[in-house]
Amino acid sequence: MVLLVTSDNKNFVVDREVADRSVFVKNTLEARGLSIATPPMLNGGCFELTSPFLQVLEYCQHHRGEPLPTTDDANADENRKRTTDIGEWDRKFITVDHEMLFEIILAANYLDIKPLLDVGCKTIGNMVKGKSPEEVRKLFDIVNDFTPEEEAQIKKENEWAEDP
Amino acid sequence: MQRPRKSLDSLPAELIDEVLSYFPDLDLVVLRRCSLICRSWRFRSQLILFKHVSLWNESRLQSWCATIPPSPTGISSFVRTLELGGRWIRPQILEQHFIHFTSLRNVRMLDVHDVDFKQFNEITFPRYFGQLGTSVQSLRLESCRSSTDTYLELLKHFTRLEDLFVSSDTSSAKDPGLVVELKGMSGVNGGSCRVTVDLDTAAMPLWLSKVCWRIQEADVIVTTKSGRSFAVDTLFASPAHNLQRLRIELTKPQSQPETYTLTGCTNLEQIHFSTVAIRRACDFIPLTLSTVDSSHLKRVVLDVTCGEVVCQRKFDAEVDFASWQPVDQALCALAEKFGGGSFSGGEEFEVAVKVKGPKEVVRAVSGSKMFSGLRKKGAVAVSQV
Repeated sequence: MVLLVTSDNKNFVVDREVADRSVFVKNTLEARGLSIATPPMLNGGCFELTSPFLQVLEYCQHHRGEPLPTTDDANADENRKRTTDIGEWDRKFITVDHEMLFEIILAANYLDIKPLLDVGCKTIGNMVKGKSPEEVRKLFDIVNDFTPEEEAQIKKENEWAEDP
Repeated sequence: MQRPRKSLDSLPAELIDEVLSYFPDLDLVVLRRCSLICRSWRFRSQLILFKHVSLWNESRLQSWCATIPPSPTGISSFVRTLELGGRWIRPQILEQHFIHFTSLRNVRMLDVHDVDFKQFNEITFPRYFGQLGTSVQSLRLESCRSSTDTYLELLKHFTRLEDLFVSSDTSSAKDPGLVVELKGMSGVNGGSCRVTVDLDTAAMPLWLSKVCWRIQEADVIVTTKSGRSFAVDTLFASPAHNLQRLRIELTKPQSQPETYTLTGCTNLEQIHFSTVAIRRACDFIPLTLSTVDSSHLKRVVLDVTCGEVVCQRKFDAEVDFASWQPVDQALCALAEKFGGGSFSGGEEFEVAVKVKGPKEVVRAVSGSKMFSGLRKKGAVAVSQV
């Protein structure tokens, strides 16, 4: 068992197999030979892990024992990203409000849980797909900070862009 | 403490990149739309949108110049792969768009095809390619017109080159007569090189020895139907001190190279003769071996891939065991020269015979006089390929 302490001092006792879903936690434990992982506070303590961490924990518990993606295979990484499919359980799991979705993505990124980051990013990708810029702004409450001239210039530039 | 509310545009830049990288096939339409969401998304989207740029005709270059400001920190700086192609590329044309062309400061891969480099010289090369040369790590030159001198003049401006691919003009032949691939050129170990040359349609890449003198591993694949001579030392002329492993493959039975000298390769550790079941193989292999001047030589591989049918019916006629005696003698001479007559120092001579079954292996080696000298020294390893 491993004791995980979030930045707001909440304790979670989890199986090592569950904790090891996070590359960050796995490496921290291995490097220090400890059974306690205390993520350092980010941005002066603004980053509070408990709420998304419960979600992350649920994800790790569900996927415990599954093979982790290798970090040195660029092709596998590319292939993983090229599919927008999200598994049934993951799809239900990630059906949360936008703020929680962003929190989960941030946590997955921080804790280095690639498959969860995949799910979060693909979910946003699927939400953005097929929508106009205005619709995306409205969906995610983003302020349009372009002048009309800038917008015209971007459209002109983008005409030039080819398939990447 | 009140936690700031998390929103999509509050995600750090690397996570916006991460989200964008998940769009199916990096969809052009989606990326164009994303660039119009807000400033931070514009930047991240256009970084991907303008990663690859092709300038395949003059009007496309003009359109690029008319649309994209030549700012060294703007869209020009997003371009990582640049494709330049066509006979329209001339110094005069590039001069007209000089500022735009030289604002491409972060190109990592330059793909050039069908350009006539003979129109450039020691003044125009650095002017138009000098800037690109400081960032490009991978250069492809396909079907370009060039001489040895122009290649050398061009390549000397690409100071950060890791990989180089050159293929000769394919317009007159189905396959390019010359393909040169260099990988890991700036690495500590000097990298590797693969040269495929058809001596009937292409000239020897004489510029190679000046470019890849640090190469440690080389594959040389030669074809010729007309029996032209081939001098490997012109590829790896002195200084080729770094070359440690060399594989020579002759792909056609008619290939009859006459000159193989390796005197400059003073650190050669391994020579691999591949596909040597050709007439006169037993002549040029001993000749080549006799030029070896490397006391580091540890391994000679003779890959006798003579083909299954040939093995069955014509083995004796085509590759007469007795005619391998000169090879055997040359190998023994090498052993005398560098191994003091024995192979106790870890030197090994490996003979790989491609035959159909174990009986043929025995017949090919043990049951004949083939490599009898080496066998006496216990230095032949036979394997069925």
